[in-house]
Amino acid sequence: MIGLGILFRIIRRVLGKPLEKSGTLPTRYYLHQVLRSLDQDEFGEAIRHLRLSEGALVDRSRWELVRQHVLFRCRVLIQKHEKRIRSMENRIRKLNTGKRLPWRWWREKPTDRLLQYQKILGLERHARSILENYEKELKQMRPGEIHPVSVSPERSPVIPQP
Amino acid sequence: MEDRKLSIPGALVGALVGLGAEIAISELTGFDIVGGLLEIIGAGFGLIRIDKRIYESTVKLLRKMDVQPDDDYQQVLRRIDELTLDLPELRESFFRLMEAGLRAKSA
Repeated sequence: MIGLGILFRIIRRVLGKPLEKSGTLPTRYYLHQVLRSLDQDEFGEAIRHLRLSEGALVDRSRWELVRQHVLFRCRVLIQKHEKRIRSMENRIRKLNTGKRLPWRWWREKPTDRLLQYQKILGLERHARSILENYEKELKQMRPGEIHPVSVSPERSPVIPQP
Repeated sequence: MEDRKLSIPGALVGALVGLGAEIAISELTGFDIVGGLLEIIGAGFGLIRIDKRIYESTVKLLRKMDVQPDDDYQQVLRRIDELTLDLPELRESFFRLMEAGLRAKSA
């Protein structure tokens, strides 16, 4: 069995990669790839593989379940970023309210810290917006519909400057 | 070396004999040879074990959730509920998994 596993892995690597773009491979092959990408939180790759297998008529229920997996993970991460955004906003608010107090020389300058927090806040918002775009894209996908495979470069918006 | 010629009627006869043999074997023994062969070839592309892989992924999704040590069961359940409002299949598999976990814990 181990030998067979290795053999199949080699076949997958050698034949799978060049053939996968044609969309002719079985749905389950793409689903395996989607789950592999999901393990590493690579949503772009996961969506690309989902799109490639979108037109398949068999394994629709599995396809749908895997799509929901990706969507769920996306939402969990969005929530995580929202939590961090809230925490950053609270910190910035606290720092702004305590602005009038004299800062002590052994502490960091409040302005430095403020800039740092604003930078983190910008990055967090950027990450959230990327994930929200992925979520929107995943929601629109339906099994049995064939769409052109596209990894849109405009998916990621411009990082907001602090 | 001898020149080999391909014969179309020969190929057709061969295919027919093969089909006849396949039908005869499946009728007599109940084994589906062509299906079995296709399954073996298909396994190369990861056709088998997909359900196991989906199950593993479901478990991973739950493990990767941002759960605080002081969160109780109801809180986690509510969060899953919120996140899977429009994902009925996933919600069902999550609850089945959690029920199985609770049953195993109480046993």
